[in-house]
Amino acid sequence: MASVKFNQVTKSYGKQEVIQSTSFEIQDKEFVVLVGPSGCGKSTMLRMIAGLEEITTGTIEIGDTVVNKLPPKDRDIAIVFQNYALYPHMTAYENMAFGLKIRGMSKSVIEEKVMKAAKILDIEDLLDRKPKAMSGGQRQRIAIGRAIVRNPKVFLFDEPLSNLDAKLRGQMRLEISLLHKKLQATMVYVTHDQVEAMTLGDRIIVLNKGVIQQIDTPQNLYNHPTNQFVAGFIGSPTMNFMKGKIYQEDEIEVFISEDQSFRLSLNTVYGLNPYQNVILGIRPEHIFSSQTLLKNPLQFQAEVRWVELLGHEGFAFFDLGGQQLSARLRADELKDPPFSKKLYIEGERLHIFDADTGLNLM
Amino acid sequence: MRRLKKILFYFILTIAALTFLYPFYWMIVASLTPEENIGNLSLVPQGLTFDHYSDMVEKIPIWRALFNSLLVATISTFGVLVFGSMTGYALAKMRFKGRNLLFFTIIFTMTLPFQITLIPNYIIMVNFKWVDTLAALIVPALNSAFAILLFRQAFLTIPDDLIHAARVDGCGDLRIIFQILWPNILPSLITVGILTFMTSWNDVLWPLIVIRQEELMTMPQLVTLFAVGGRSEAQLGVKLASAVLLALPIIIAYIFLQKYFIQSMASSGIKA
Ligand SMILES: Nc1ncnc2c1ncn2[C@@H]1O[C@H](COP(=O)(O)OP(=O)(O)O)[C@@H](O)[C@H]1O
Ligand SMILES: [Mg+2]
Repeated sequence: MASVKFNQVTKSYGKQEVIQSTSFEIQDKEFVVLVGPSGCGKSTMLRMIAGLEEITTGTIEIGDTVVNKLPPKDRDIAIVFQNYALYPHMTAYENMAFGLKIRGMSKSVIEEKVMKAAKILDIEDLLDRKPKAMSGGQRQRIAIGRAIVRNPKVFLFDEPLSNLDAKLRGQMRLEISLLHKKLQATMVYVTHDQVEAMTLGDRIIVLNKGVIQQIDTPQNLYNHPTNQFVAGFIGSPTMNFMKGKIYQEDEIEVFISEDQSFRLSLNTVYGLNPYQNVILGIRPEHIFSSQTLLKNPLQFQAEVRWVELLGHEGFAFFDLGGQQLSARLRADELKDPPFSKKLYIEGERLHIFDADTGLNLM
Repeated sequence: MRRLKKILFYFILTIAALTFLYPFYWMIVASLTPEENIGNLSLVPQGLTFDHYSDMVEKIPIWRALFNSLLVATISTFGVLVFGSMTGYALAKMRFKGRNLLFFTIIFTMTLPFQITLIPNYIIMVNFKWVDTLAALIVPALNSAFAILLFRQAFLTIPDDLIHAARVDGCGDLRIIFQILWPNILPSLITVGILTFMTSWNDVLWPLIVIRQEELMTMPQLVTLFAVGGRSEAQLGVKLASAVLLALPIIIAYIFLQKYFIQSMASSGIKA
């Protein structure tokens, strides 16, 4: 098994730099998720680990070996693609056996390995079928099987569940997680779906426009995003943001929205620069209708314009300080809009970002 | 009413088919008819004879020519399939400087009428000392712009990730082309194969220019020379017999590969 290490890696296509200087290390046996919006360079990064894409500058190490010059087949990695990329003219069995055959293994060894993988993935009765005769979920199992049989040091996944329907996606997510426990292998998993990232990753790398924004555990990303991008990307529904300025009044800091219509006393001193342009961030689930359990309740009046009910809970939408905000509330706390309601922000959960750099100031 | 329409439809189709088939049929019948009766244009042979065929075999090395033609057409077809798909693969899936320029140059050569390249090609053959060798027929035909174009288009439809998967599995480029991609572009392979074989088989002009030795001639060349060159002594029957022999392989191939002929022409959207 092996770690994966990036040392100041960059990647350019012609003049366009799609990955800017990047350094990080993925530990042996770790499950790391690379997440970011479409086009941010996730697949490029994965393909560089696999050796399918040349590295412009810097080095990548797998285990203790610099692999820059090694072809994919010598890197001891396996990769699972979004579109399965099964060989259409081969049966499931042949698909899984192909890589082993090329490596010159004997028929009996191949059969043993394929059958073992088929058992793990519960695909024994699909082995004679061609990809065309299988559903998307079945195909992806075969593709995972093709990766498992090789027993690689590092597994790479490029949005493997994106083509599956929601229910199947949830199920496969769980299976991949269990597979990781079972195989004890290093896994690097690319997705644009933050739910997948949060549920699967030991650690998550958030990428935007070819720049790593933050590398952290799912919980830390949620609680302590380093900047506004991460704050907005992680968590669903997305965090509420409001532009404004910080003022100091009677020993405490006060936030006043850009249009002056909303004023929030922060009830404490964070040591922010007075008159600094900031962006206030608060997640919908950190706005409450009662202050009893809150450590630092910050009260405000919301004119609710619209409500979305999801059974046990719902979302209230209201305009505040020139922005539309949402609050996640219990269904019984909501009624037919419009209505006016007193709400409380948990001050402990408030984020304040620098309006220019986007950095978290807290 | 609908029945009538159907009958009419098939009637017209039958007439059309007969219009195309009749000349072939007549050619075969006439080649089996004694010389003095050929002019009658009858539907059944008036007196069956194989004399024309035995005359032909006596007068010209037709079997040798058949062998030459088969050899040339088979090797050229094989070459075009192999080298055409290799070139098409490079143009579709590899990244290198000047790729588009190369591609457009290849396309450009397709627009040149062969009359323009005929003389330069001949001079090259002379310089290579390949005149009067089969190499002059085979080597220039080992790749073709048309095949490259068709293969490139076929490879473009194949997702990159399939190739990536093959690379991770341990395939090199050649294995990727022949073991992974070929099975997935069968219609293009068959189209190119059939068209290349037919083009090579039917070519008269180029062999006429580079081959003068009778034993090295291809069938169409030999038959053409025989028919127009006076050695058939104006015997229509013998000429027709050689024409039948010339058409036969293509007809046989068509009968067996009919499905593929039609399928591949339709699927490639290219008319020969
Ligand atoms: N072969 C290529 N040539 C040029 N640009 C490319 C190529 N592959 C990807 N890119 C560009 O690199 C950026 C990152 O692509 P990619 O890694 O596929 O993003 P993601 O997987 O995060 O959606 C995109 O802007 C894309 O247009
Ligand atoms: Mg991608």
